[in-house]
Amino acid sequence: MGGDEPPGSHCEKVRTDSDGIMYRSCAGTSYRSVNYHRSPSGTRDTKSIWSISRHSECNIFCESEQKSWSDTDSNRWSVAGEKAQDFGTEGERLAFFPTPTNNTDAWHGFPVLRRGRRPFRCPPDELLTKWLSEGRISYVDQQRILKARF
Amino acid sequence: MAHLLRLHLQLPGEFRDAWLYKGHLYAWGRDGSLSTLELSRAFDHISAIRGPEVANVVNLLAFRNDWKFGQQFRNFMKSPSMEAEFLRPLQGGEPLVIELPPGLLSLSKSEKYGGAVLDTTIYADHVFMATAEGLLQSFIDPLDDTYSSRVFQHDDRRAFGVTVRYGAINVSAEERGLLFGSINNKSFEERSFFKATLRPVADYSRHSSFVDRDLLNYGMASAPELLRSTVVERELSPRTQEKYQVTGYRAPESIDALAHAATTTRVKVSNRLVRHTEHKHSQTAEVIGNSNNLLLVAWNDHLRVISMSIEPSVDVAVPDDIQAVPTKGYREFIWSHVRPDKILQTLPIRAGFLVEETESVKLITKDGVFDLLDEPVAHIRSFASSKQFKDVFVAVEEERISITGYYFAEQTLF
Repeated sequence: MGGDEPPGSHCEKVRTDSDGIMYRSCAGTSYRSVNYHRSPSGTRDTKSIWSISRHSECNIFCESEQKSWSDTDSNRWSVAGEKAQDFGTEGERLAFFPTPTNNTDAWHGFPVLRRGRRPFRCPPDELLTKWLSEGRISYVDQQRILKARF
Repeated sequence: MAHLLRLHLQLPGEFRDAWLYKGHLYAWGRDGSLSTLELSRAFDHISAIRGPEVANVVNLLAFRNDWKFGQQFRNFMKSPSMEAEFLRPLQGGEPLVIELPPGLLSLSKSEKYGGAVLDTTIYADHVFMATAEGLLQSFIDPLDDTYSSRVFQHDDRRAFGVTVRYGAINVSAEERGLLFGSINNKSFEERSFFKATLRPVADYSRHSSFVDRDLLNYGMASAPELLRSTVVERELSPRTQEKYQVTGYRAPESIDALAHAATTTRVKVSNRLVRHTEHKHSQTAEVIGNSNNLLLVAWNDHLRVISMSIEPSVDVAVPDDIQAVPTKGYREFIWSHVRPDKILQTLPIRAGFLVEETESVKLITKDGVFDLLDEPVAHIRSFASSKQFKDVFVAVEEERISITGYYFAEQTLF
């Protein structure tokens, strides 16, 4: 495991398929590290690209699952701690894991920037407060996420 | 090459936001409490602790920033020996840093709002707060630090940002649009709350910024829309010396094509002529901020500054034309100085533009790019349209507020 692993989270690799690598999360959930968020080629739309290992990507999902870092639509979120490396190649420090369309589908996720002309949606205020009170983010970061400067 | 001399006044504490207004620093704690710092008290404190020479520099660069631009001061500073003597406290290469004791702050008894506040602005003794619960408002009285106010609610739509001038309240509510309302005249005179009716005037808004009495609305497009205001004259109030009241805005006009055309040419271009042209370029100019009518534009790995103006139409049936031209005074700034993709926000300041990056705040002027503050900031507040604080800014940092002022001197001065 790399130095950016959240403590206590252990993903287990299950198999490789044409869409990516399938993992079993620490809570037993299926998680796929998809190829189209790993390489800029091969998709029509521009996709954000993870800069951390696939295993770390799953462990970040794992941590958000364990700590219930979710919004009202049950999507999961994560944020890089102050000293942790960026999640994405464009300096993204937030990660978003949309709820699968079907119960049987695996989860997947991608790094997001919350800034610029089309800022990605914001983690809920309560989650930002939780991250702040747990020391995961600084006050400056909380305000920057709220104001789409992160 | 001009040499930048910096002053930082630091007030330790955990603050949510801060604003300079009519001889005071207004500072909100993270629990929503409001404290005030009377700048004349801070001046006396600095004078007693550091001496009148330092206090006078603080006055010029921060507390009475308008004096810096006065003819008398500028005449005095034409004498190099006098200028060198006056600026002696700023010598040494490092910024002059003065820590103010928190005991100088007075805690207000005004009602606290402890929810998520996304933006704050003070105008004519009114405090507007853009919050998750909508636009809220309270009052302050710079002549009475014991004055206390309730918090009132104008609107319950989540507000992302708010700008107020000329009696116009502009609320950026993202996908809910740009909402416009007016301050009731009685509210000016009686300091009593009158709920504003906010109506959408543009479809999407991240933030807005005044260009004189008109408004730029930053939305999803690569350039903001211009909203021309309609105004009426009004009597001057003790709380605002503005002669006009904005009563509404005409339909937003895209300046996407204008910004692109002005950035890629050397001559003045007209929005009327370019607005229907299609861009076939791979690089579209992106307006990332404005300082009144000057637009900071990112294009093809460069930052440029273009100047926008309104050409009144001679035919009443034909709308006024918006025109733009590259500003000769500003050089082209290559990415090694400021990378457009690293800019988190841009604010107007008298000298040019303030730009926030992840770990610093920089100043862009006609003379180049200068580092002003080497700290990550939760909020920056500048006051380019104020009388007293045109060239000074306030930053809310993790564990303090800092007030930053500066002075450009010739490198050979000392």
